[in-house]
Amino acid sequence: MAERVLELDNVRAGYGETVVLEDIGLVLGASETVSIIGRNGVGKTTLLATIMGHTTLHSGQISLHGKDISGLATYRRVTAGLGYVPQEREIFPSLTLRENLEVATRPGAWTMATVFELFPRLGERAENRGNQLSGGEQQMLAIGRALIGNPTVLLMDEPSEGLAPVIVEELARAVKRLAQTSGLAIILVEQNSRLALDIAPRAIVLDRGRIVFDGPSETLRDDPAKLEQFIGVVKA
Amino acid sequence: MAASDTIGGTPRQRATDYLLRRHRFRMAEALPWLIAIAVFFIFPTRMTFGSQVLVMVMFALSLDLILGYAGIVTLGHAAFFGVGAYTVGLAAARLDWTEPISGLFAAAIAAGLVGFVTGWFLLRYRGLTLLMLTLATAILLQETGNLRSDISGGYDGLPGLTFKPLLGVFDYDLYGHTNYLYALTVLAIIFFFVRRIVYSPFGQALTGIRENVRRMHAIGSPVHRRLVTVYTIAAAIAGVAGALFTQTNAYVTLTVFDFDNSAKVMVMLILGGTGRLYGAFVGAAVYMVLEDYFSKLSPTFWQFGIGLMLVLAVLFTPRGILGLFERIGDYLAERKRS
Repeated sequence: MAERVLELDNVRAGYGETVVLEDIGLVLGASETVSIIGRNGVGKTTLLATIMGHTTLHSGQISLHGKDISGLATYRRVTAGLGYVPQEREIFPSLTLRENLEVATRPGAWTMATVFELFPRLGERAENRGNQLSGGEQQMLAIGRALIGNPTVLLMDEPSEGLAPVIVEELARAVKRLAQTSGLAIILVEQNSRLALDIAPRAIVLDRGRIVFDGPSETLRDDPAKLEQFIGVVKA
Repeated sequence: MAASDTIGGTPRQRATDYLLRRHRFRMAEALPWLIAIAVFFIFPTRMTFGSQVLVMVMFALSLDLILGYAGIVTLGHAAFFGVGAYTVGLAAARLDWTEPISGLFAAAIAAGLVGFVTGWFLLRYRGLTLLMLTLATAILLQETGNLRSDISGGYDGLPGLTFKPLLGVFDYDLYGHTNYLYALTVLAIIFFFVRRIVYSPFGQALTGIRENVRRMHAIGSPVHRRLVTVYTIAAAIAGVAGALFTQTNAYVTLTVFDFDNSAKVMVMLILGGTGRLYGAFVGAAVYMVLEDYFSKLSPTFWQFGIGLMLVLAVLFTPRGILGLFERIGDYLAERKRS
């Protein structure tokens, strides 16, 4: 494997006293894209929230570029190299699209221009306020806002949720392009397993807070019975 | 279509265009300043009252920075106004330091320091806890002053203060003309400083913190540090307002720390409209003028008039007087379009 950028070692985490994730071990290499799939409520979002420091870490360790970040505040994890695209998008409604990007800008290869190149639609709406954007545009902005912070690891939580199929396709093309050309390590949490397995070469299946499968996406893609066994109804 | 096609020009041109667009003054922004200058000529005998209005505008502006932009709700903003007021008061009464402009700087530093120290601790809390802690801060400072009444003058205050002529040239006249122009000049400087802050990336970050603090953490923004920074700046500005209050009135008492003072400035800001800069102008001016009018109309029941006005304002202009104008403007624009 290439350089290890993110490592979770025996992570046990949850919300307060409630434990959601048990014994999570995960290693993500540089430029690697991995999808996290599973039924509703198995802990996919909690896993990303734990990496970001939004939950209670009961035991285990999270390392970024070999450095333990388990005790760091969220904003320090971001400055250390994490980028996060939340499920709810959470665009700042009264800031313009451009300002939404500006507040998150940190020096690096990703700039306003490169974000607009990835999502040309954002360039056209740069002066619109956050609350004047469609769901798809908000999702693109949420991804752009994470990218412009120039992370080394990008965490994406269900980017296709609630979007029209045509927008999902546009978004999927952009994420795939990111995965193949950006050099970023990406963790993609996605309810749409077909989309996730198509984008990421490696898949992790979570069930009741534990990893029950970690391997090549094609193993699941080529074996619908196995996929159904892990995540129930398989989306066509 | 590439981004460059949609915006046009080189990156340098685009950046210049954007900065010009963002910082461009609109014609309407000249209005409050023209009114303030007109007042000087139209009401030459009301300059002392006019100076008080300008001081309260500055005080409300400092609150707008933290309440309107950063979303910090406080009931103790009078603490900083009081620290500024007493800095120049004590300097003049006890140290014979009566040069007015250096007094303003001293007040800004003293109030800013208090803002920094209290903000560092208090801004870890939010909601009701923060409200109570900010209120307690102002009360503690007031009681400290009361305990050392040998220095502060207690509730009798420090009367009959005198200050050197402005810039060593402009002496103070009976009707307060010099004070009015002095307060207006300081307000203009402070205003353009605040305007620059709110339109900067730092100001955008404050808006982000107000709208979604968790998200700001998740994009790597040092939220606490930014809140403490803006709290310190707002405290320093409130301190300058307090110092001007002492200089233009030539006295100061411990009532400057009163809860009434904190509540009043918040009411002014809400009345004018929060997070708009000019809401401080409108709110403070309307409140002060009505307070003056009602107190002349009925020296006993004037507060009834203020209360009634507030009820009406909250019912019909929930986003403040400027918010009402915005709604009217939107309505007219919509009608024009259709």
